[in-house]
Amino acid sequence: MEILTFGIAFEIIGKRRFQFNADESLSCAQLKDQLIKKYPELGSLSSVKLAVNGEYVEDDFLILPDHEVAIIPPVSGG
Amino acid sequence: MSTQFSKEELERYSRHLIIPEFNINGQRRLKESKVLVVGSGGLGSPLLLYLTAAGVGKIGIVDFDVVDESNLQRQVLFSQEDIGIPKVEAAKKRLQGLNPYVIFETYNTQLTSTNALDIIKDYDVVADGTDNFPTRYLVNDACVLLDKVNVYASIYRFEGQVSVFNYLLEDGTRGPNYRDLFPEPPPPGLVPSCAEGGVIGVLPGIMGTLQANEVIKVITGVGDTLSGRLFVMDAASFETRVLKLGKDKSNPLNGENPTQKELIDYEQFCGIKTTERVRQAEVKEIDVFQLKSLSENKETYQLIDVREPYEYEIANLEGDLMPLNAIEEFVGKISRDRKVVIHCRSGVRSAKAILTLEEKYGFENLYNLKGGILDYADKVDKTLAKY
Repeated sequence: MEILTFGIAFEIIGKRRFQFNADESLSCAQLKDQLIKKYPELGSLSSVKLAVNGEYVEDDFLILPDHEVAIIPPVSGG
Repeated sequence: MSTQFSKEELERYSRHLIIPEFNINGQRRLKESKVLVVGSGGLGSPLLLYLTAAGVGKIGIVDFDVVDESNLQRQVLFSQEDIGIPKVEAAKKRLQGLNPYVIFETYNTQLTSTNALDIIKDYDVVADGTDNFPTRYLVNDACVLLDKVNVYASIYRFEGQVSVFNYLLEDGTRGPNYRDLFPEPPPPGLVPSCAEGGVIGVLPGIMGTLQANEVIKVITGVGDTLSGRLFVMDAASFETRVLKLGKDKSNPLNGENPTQKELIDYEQFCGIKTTERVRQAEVKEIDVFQLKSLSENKETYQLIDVREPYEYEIANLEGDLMPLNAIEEFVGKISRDRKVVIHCRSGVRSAKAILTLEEKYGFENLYNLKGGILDYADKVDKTLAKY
């Protein structure tokens, strides 16, 4: 799957977009867990919802290998 | 009798009047509407300029700040001669000059849980151009409680987000709101504000203009608003997405089991009053005058600057540069037998550095420069650039 990052998630991961190769299809919650293992600082963003193929989904949503996942944490500037 | 326009107004708005789906009815709805713009900064500037030019009937402006030189890089509403003047006052003067047919009401105050409902209740639409999480949740909750549409935009460095919250749908229900998108605020200190993290000047211009367009669409009914969708953009890579957003059953305001029926303490909700702040308050401090007398009395001490090299270049106190994110690599270069003063821009990063050094490496001789180099520039050395 391809992961697209914004805001503080981009700063933590350091890549705007990257391929994340999972052995099997993952739920959003499982993907978050795996990403947090790799990037522990993401742990503080665990409540951020993921958008898959252009749509916000719940934590139990199953992500397929050809999906695009966007991580969009809140920003506050004005 | 329906709202009438003078000859001058008809000529002023003629480019609207000849758009078939907009026409005089759209212009009439604009003139009959009342919009509250919260925050007259980066987003508020284009919002206010375009809503005024477009002919909204009444515009309320909430801001408690005065114009600062560092605002002018992006807050195009203001001019050099406005520096030091309350933003609402400078804004009203400029905007009234742009369109004499608009009525302005200014609120030179911070929006709080105490005054928000009273201020917002008189308006049809709210445009959120604030710059912090507590006020964003406050604006959202007040709009949901009062059944007002909240046109939202937010920015960070090169990125922006836009949406329309709590929009009245055809079936009489309301579209998603900020809490459906972000149920929980991020931990305090994790997401920097524009003042802390910086922002490219044109970004609020782009986002605030999109926000103004959504306000106009909400009022006139022309087009499809961003209700139920989030627009997100990174202007650096030009990645843009429009993401579908649904309602969250657990939304405390209007989910399946609403638990929140009034405004709350948003500083507390966003964790501003947290243990981290309390811990940071526990580090030993000296103020800028004490630092000045240290150097004048030729006392032996070490001054450490935990900012980034590019900040050092803007202004510095000739301290030893040891950026916070790499502070542990410099432990061997930090003195243990004399007084060590650590500073950053405003005092937050240096407090973090001290906590790390005390807890992990047992330092007991570290002092935080209260207010950082900003305070030093204010009170001791006015030749230093503030940023």
